[in-house]
Amino acid sequence: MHESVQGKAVPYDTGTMKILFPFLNAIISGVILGAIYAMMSMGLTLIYGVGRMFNFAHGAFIFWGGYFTWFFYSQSHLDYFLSAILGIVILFCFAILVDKFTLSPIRKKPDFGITSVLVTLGLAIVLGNAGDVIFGTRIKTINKIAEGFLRIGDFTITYQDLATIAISVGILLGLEIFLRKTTIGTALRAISQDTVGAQIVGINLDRLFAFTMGLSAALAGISGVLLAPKFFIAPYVGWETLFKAVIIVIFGGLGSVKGTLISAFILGTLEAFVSMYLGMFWVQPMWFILMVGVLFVKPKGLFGEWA
Amino acid sequence: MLEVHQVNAFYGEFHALKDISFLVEEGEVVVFLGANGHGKSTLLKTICGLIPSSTGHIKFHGTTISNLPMHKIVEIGVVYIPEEKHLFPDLTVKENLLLGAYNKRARKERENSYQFVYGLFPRLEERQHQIASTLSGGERQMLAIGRGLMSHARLMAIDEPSVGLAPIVKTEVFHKIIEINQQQGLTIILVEQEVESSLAISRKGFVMKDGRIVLEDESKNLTIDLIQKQYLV
Amino acid sequence: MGLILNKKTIAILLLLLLLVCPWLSGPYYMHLIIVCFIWAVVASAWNLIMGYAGIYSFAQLAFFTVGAYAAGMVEIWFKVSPWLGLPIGGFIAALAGLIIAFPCLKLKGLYICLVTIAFHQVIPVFIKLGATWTGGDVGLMGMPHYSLFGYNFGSSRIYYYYLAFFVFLLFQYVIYRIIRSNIGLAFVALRDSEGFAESLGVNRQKCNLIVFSVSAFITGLMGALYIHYLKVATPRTLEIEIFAAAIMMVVIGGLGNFSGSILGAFFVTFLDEFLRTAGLIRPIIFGAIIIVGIVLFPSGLGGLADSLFQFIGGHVDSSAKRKMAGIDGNETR
Repeated sequence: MHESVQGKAVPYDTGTMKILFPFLNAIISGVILGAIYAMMSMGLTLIYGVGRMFNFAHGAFIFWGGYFTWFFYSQSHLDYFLSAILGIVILFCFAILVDKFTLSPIRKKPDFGITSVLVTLGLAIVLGNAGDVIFGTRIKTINKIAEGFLRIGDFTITYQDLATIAISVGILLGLEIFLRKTTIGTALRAISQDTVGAQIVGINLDRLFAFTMGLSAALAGISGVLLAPKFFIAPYVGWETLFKAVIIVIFGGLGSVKGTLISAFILGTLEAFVSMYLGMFWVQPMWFILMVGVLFVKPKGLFGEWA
Repeated sequence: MLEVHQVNAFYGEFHALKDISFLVEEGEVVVFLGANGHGKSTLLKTICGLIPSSTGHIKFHGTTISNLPMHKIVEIGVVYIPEEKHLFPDLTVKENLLLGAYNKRARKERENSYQFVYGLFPRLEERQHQIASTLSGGERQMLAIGRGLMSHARLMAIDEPSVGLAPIVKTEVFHKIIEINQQQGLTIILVEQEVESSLAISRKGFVMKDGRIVLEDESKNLTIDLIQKQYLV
Repeated sequence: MGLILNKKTIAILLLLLLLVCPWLSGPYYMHLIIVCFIWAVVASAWNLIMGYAGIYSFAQLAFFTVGAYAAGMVEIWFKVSPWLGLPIGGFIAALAGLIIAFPCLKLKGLYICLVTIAFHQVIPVFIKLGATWTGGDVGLMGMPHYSLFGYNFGSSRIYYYYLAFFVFLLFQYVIYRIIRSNIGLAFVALRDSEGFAESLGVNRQKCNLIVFSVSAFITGLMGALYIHYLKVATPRTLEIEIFAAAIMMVVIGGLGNFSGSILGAFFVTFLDEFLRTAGLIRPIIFGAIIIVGIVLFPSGLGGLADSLFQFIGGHVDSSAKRKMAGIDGNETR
């Protein structure tokens, strides 16, 4: 006889508990990872859907979110949240400038597909190494947002993870509301569906492309702040997150917000399960296999229209 | 109201518009006729800012609009309704209309504009929460025109509104154009293949051939014979 | 009658200069130029697939490494002659090229970009997995030296110099002929107007397979040569810094500009050497050059060179004139 494990003290039925416990833990981890991954990949989807380009520097934006936060927090002793917010704002503005000066001039040309990849690649290299130059190569760390953990029955979940989920879900919801209910959000969806139509109704494409770049960078930065306590703050984080974000986005369907969301949670849960049942070692190979599978077997993804 | 003077336009090397000059008075409906590929659509696109013009100028109420970015031209009051319509396929009818009123002038009037468009096209109101890609051909044309009306424009350039539509629907479209012109005083430049109907609703007619205007007259003077002669020459 | 100052003359003069270079300068410059020769061919092959054929392939460096390791392993473990190792490296790389090309046939531009990058990322994994044969992170060493008529190439750098020079001339010529051939025109037609080209009878599938395998072969062979010169093959060739440098060569040269890739390779190699002491700033300068190059100088060094000739005036001969008008040769957009 056993009762459900929702926060109640349970008379031990060791058999079922042994199976259920890791399973539920994996689910919880999966949700946490999914939330972070969704934040991490959303910017990439947005910039492809609206701007029709692949932002190679996306990982660099993620990494710099954590970097700015570390800088303001540890060097200027600003409050943690203020540091993060300041960092995000700087990223937002920086991305807009990048769009104005490097992407806007090449956008009209027919080879924009490749030139945008090359330019953002150059940008990624510059940003990736700029941190080392400015701040030195020692690995940086930042504290968690919240210490301590919550106990529910036999499950523990750290306040950090709870905060992460809350912030991620909150922001993703906010994004959804923005895209569905505001004029600008609807305009962004419109641009992703028909650029000529967008011009016809008088939408200033250049301005919105720049805005999307800023928004995308801000989202990336936020995910960087959320990721920083889990991983160190170092340039390779940028490349690794980019790698995962690309797989997530393609699996969900390039340019589909809904697809990216679902894909992030599916793959996040998958990673949690692989980690729980096969061990941390197999996480990297899992992503490699996913990459090969996604690119070769189903490049259109779950909800994608473009192959 | 609209002054086009010595305008030339190119698609790469191809000389699509050659020394185009004409005037459109406020409140008029004018129509451009001619076979496909002779520059009618190009002309509309150039006036509305989708394609640059290389010489001459285009003035709207005295303001030069040639080679301005399209969003500025829409702001000034010239809107383009292309043949391909370019509706937003995954947005609802209402969302398409919402964006039609994107420019600042139109945003203030948006609620009124909805009323006007729904009054003109009741079927759009019925389907306002439907996704645009699920509409029929005729409904899409109505939505395209409705979206254009939302922009609070004073000059509307419509490219082949009747193409691909059933005869009954074609007639309805032409009636609506008359209605828009008479109720709102909207100036309309039409590009059409339906010679008779469009001449019936317009004040002036132009025939284009090889990128030039080869015939220009009041619509009542333009007969089928005269026009056909241009095609055969 | 004055000297006719056209591209051909300048090229011949430069080549003559390069020919006698070993006697004009020391081993240091010889080394640099050997590296230039090798990378110039790699850059040209990359330019062939990316600039002329318009395929966003980022697997070239991976093919380079595959060819290098294939040659090295076959020579060490199967005792094959190093001369044979060169084409073997090329063929194995070409095979890899075909393997990548097949899934890319049905994919659109951006996806090809991602697939090729994925391929690039996967290679070091395989190298590490097969460490017993590949030497893993430490690297593959012990390749025999080339020798000809009893001369052992390992004894003096000058042998490698002329070998590299010869290979450079050979493959630049091959690539040049490919660009001028019907296949070359087909690539460019597909790049610029795919539908139109196909309606004229160009077989997109066949062209893509050809360009992948040919550029892979050439690059793989250069890889084999490179590791013989360096005496070691490591997975470090796949790191971001070399990747950035290689891209820079193609970009700076000007996508789709034949002489551009050569100029780009020389420029980047010398710049890289010049900045060797700059430490951390170096990759930042590279990245910045890539950005500035694409945004401000899309036609690259090659384009600049063409403009320079126009400016100097001299006697711009008819073939150069046609080139600048974009009719033949200078296939930039």
